[in-house]
Amino acid sequence: MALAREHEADAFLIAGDLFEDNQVDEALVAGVVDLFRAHPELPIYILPGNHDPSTGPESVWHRKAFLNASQNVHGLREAEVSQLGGHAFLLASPLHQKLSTTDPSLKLMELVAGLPVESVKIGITHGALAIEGKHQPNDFPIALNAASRAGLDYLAIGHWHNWLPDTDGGRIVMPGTPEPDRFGNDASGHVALVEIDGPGQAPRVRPLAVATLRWRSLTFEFLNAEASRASLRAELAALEPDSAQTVLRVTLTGTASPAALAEVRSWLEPILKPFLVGQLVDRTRVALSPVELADLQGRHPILAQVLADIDRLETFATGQMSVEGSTLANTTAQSSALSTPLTLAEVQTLLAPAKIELARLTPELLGQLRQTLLQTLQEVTR
Amino acid sequence: MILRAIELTHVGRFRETVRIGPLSPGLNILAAPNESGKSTALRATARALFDRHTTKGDEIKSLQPAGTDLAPRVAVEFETRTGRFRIEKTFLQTPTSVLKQWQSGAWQPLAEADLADQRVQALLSSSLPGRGATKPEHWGFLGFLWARQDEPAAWPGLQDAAVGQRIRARLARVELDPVIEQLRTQLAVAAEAILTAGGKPKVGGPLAVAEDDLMVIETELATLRQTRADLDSVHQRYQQASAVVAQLEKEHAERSACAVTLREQTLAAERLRGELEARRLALTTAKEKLATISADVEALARRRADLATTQKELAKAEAEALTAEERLSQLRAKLDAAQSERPRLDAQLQSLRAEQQRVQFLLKLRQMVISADVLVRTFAKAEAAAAEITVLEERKARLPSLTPVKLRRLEELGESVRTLRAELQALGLTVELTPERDAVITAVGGSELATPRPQGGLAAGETFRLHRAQAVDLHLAGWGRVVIRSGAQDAQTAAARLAETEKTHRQALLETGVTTVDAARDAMSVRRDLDLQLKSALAALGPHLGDHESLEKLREAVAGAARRVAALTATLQPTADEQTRSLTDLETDEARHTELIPAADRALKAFDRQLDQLRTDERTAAQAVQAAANRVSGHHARLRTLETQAGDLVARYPDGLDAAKETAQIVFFQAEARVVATTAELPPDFEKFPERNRRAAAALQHLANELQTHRAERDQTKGTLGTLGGQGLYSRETELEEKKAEALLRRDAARARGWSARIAHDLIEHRKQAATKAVLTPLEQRLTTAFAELTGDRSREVFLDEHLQVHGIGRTRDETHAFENLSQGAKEQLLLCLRLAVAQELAADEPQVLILDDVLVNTDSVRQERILDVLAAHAARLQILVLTCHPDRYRGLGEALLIK
Repeated sequence: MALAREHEADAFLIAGDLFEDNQVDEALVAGVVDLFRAHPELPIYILPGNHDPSTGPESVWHRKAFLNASQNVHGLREAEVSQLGGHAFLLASPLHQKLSTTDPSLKLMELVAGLPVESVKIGITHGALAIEGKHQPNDFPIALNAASRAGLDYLAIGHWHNWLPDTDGGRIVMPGTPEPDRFGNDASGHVALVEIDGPGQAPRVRPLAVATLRWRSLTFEFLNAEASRASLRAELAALEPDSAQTVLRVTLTGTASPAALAEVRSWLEPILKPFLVGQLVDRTRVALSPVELADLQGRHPILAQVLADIDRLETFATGQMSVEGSTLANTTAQSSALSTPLTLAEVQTLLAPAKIELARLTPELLGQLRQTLLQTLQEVTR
Repeated sequence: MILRAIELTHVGRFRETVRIGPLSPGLNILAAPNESGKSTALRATARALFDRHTTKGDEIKSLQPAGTDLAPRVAVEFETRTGRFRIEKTFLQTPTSVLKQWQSGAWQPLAEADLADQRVQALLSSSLPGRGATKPEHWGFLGFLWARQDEPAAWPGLQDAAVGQRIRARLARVELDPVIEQLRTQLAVAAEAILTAGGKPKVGGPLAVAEDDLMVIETELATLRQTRADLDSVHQRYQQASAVVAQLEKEHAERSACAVTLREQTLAAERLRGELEARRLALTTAKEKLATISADVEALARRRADLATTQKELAKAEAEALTAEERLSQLRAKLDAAQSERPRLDAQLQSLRAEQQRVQFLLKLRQMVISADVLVRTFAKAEAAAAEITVLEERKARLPSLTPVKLRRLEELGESVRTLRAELQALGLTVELTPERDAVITAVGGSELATPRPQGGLAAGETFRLHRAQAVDLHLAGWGRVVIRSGAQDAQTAAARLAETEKTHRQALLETGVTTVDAARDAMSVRRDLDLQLKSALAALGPHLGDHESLEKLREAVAGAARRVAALTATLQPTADEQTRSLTDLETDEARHTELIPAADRALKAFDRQLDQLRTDERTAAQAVQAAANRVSGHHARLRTLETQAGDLVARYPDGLDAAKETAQIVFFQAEARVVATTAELPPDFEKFPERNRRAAAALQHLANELQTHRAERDQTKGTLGTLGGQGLYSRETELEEKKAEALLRRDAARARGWSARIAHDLIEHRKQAATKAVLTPLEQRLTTAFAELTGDRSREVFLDEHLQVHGIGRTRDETHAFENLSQGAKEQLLLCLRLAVAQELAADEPQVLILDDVLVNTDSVRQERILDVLAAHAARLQILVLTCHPDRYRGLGEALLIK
């Protein structure tokens, strides 16, 4: 809104989904209305979207806060035409439900009838552009030529979160959300500044970056540990100045020994602390070198048997021998020549007291089982 | 640890100090009678070794000599691998504890009081309970190696971590990998922090907490979703209500307009209708008036016509009345004449009847006399016949009372007598006597069968035959008696029967009153003849009696007939002439009267009919006269009425009837014209307007009510929507969803951790037990060998389970007798084998004592010998202390201990 005032905009349009839901709490609604109240000279037009459709008394548009909002705030609860000043009109086709197969821009074609030909006609609606393979049929599909079809100079559409420009000869723009809301939405965080010189003139649309937070996802790959470390260090350094406004995720992947994993974690954790959100996701697996494994098994024969038993468990549970397990099993095969393989009956007898079903032993869980065994062993032998 | 010596003071029956020992390192036999204090000494030893000196429980108090409060004092000398020790404890009063060690040839104090107790505990690997006296499970290895008297044959568990596990490990020779053990323990701790033994989330653990959190969240979510569902439902109702309200309002507007129009129409129609009613009323009045006048005109004409008719009828009626009176007079005259003639005819008939009755009575009298005579003659005949019958019956009465049955019986008896006599004749004695000189021979007794009994003399040369059944008894005068007897039994029997039969025969004859059978036959024949005669006489009497039951009745009938004749004669008193009249004359006279009387009666009846007819005619004529008079008077009255009515009608219209009628016609036509005009002004269905108006008003009211209801519902739902919408459901739901996702992650992570740790732990445990099991076989073999040595039975094996508990004994593992099912003796022996095995194992580290306190009581003597062999063999490596009250069983074995 400050940008709009700065650019002396004639109107500030919010094309739907201002609120996540019609049942957001009163404090939020009141807070939003207060924000609008801070810009009394800026006409603000708010369209109900599919998240906050204008359904009736229970919708957010009938809250006291909105009903008592300042005069510059216009809730477009019904399809209507508003005069923007001069010869410009705003044609609104709001949503009244969460899903529909009807193109909401069709209503604009009705509204436009009766308006002076020599007037700027700006439409505002909410839905998914009917791009093949990119939209759902019941997600308010909007024709790709909705603006020109209705004879609009510009059609403001809200719904998708990323910036989508230049549709229908530039007359349709989806600005996306002003703030990214998940990792991967890199094209969001903008508002559209639209300038129309006159009736029938093509609009000039400019994205203005307004996002206050930065979302970043980085990876540390143990397979190339050194290179990963160097790369990550550089990226983190670059992000560090804005750490307070950065949502950061660092994912550890690959296999690593507990020591190596512990070392990397201990290196990263303090670095992540200053960030607004510093998330460390561990997708590594504990690895022992063959020598280490052979040494352990030689000193503790039962360990070899137990690892082989885990392999058998995985075979019974999934019908497949795990790669990791087979490696461990082969290594220990010679040393456990005397032990008999676990039978299915023994497995069921083993799992029965703890009421663990064999079918629920997923490969991930069995991997964690191996990790737990080895990690605990490492702790015990430390 | 092994024992060296025991000293007791103020313990049980040992008031003075007694010493048991020294004990040898091998086999020691403490043999003493029952109740001599053996077990007490050992119990005291246990208390001194394992209990705190300050313990005051019953187990300590039971050591005191009975009836005293002396403080028990116990001193035990024992030896471990670290040395030789002596512990001296005094219990109860001023308890003390002193531990000494044998060093440099003397006992050196080592510790006192609690420290002494603790040092001993450490030396013996024992433990202490929280409070009170110790139990065998606290006694370390000795708890396993001390088989106590009267304790159940049970093997203590080997699950105890400290001692039991060590024993188990040593027995199975399983090396405990401390690292794996630590790993297992840590995994167990990790698993137990999350899961219970049964796999359920442990209360307070992360899994349970996560699940509890999830449950709470899901409950809240469910509530929230329900509220959202309610919101949707209310929204739907709001929309429906709004739509209905809009529709109803539209309908209400339309109906209101229609109702207004209809009301105006109705009012106009009502006004016209009222006007029509009034004019119709006027028309009706004119019409009635015209009708009245017309009716009056007609009525006057009719009255006048009736007057003329009535006058004519009056004249006619008067003529008829006169005629009727004349006729009546004639009939009355005839009736009087007839009534005076009738009495004469009636008297004539009565006279004839009286004559006839007299004749009939005379006839009856004559008949009665004749009947009486007949009766008299009949009576005489009957009397004669009755007399004859009486005579016959008297004759019959004099006859013997015989019946054919009795006769037959007499005949049979006679026949029997004859038969028996003949039989006896054949069987009996027949003596012929032919004296040479005249003799007098008398037969004595006997029944005569052939000749009469001889009495008096017999001439010379005369033959006399005498027959007897069995004996002949004769008296010869001048000679003597001669008795001849027969030896034939049959004759005797026949004679007896004959005598009996003769007796019966005579009895029967006597009863019937005859002397012989022939006489009986004759009497029977006479009886038959008399019966026939009686029958004839009775048949002859019957006709004479006739209907009379008896002669007496007949006699009574005769007397009665005579009386009746006399009575009738007295009543009639017939004249001489009447008495001389014959029966035929009387009958002829009676017949004549029978003809005359009905004729006279018929004549009288015909006269009566004529008389009745006259009476009837007279009544009819009188009625006709009355009717004619009534008609005349009726016509007079009618004349008067008609004249009055005509006068009234004329008087009603002063101007005249015709003029009045003309006026009334004019008024009628005018009223009719006004009604037609008003009717033409009214709408064709004006009569339905009020109902339609009422219906429209009712519909409008109904609609208004429905509209109000739906508006209220709409407003209510609107209010509810506003309220529910302002509750911030989404925010709460979002927050809960986030919490749920986080709780699910926590739960899954905790479960994964728990399961991982648990499965890893269980796998290790499984392999450990497998390893243990792998060495079970040698241990089982060892025990089997030992048990076979004890029992002499080499066909059975001892089987253990993976927990080193005795599974059972049998030929195979699948066919075993469980330990619990073994005999007491077998259990004792098996436990002895196990204890020996345990002791042997433990002895590898330190000398061990095995104490057997009279535990082989259920072992037979054959096995006893084997047990002694085994004990002797093991005594080389173990100290064995046997307490027994059967010293004979252990003679020559080990060291004999005395309680000095």
